[in-house]
Amino acid sequence: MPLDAHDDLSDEDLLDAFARGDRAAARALTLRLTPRVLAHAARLLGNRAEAEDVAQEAMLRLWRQAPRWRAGEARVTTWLYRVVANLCIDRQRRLRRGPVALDAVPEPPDPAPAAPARMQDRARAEALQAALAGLPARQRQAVVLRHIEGCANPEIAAIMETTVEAVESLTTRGRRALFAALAARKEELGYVDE
Amino acid sequence: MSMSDEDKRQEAALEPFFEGARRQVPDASARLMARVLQDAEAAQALQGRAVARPAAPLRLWGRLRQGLGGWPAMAGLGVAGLAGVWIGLALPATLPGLAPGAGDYLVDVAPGLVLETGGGF
Repeated sequence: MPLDAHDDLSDEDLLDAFARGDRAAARALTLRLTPRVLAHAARLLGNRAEAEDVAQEAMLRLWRQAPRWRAGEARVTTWLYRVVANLCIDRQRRLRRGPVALDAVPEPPDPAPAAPARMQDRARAEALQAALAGLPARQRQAVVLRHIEGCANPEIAAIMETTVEAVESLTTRGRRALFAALAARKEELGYVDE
Repeated sequence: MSMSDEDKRQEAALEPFFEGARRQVPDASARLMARVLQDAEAAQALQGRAVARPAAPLRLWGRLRQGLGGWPAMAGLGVAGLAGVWIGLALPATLPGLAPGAGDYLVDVAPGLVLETGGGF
């Protein structure tokens, strides 16, 4: 089956095809999910090199899980976000240090001079990453899932294995802390505070 | 926890930062993608072998054949069985002990030896 034929398939259907030995499904899942997993790990860890290791390990666990995957039980991304978070927690415990903020924000892939809007995006992303690094791990995870990955609260609750109410509490407290941390840089970063 | 007006104002103020972070997607390196794909193909190869291996359960005849030692043993048993049938059908007419006049062939290997029996018997 050509790679293009997989574009319309859900992650779950692709994983089913993968488990039946479809090599094109392996490539499609790799291309589709690895960047997302890497981005999530980088936002939680604040370290690009470690995020790459976590991304590879999370994808490896997905490949091993594929034959036992039960359709309809969970979304692949929900499962992956949970695995990534657990791997990040393990890694931070092992390294006994907190996230390193600025390394997580990638260099722009385009080597051309950045437009002012992109420079501002980058400056804001770096400032946010630095502020996220100061949050407790659970608050950071909830805020990243809600406001950057775009997950709905019930999905976040499933990922974090908690209640929707607890997710709302974590995100609210996280936003308050981020707001306070970024307030000092509002002039520099075009902070909107009316 | 319900959102107060202040929380909503803070969320709106933070949105440009979240938007900036969403646009700064890390570029997964070719090396990472190659490593992930290599893992995927290795997992598929392992899982493929695991699927191909299980053999169909043996039926009674198959279990009997396996218990007796497989096809070579079965062939030996067959030949032995046929030989037995042939011996049974072909040889009785020529066996000395069973043919007519078999007494002509009896030989006294100790003619001088008389077996004494007591009591007039």
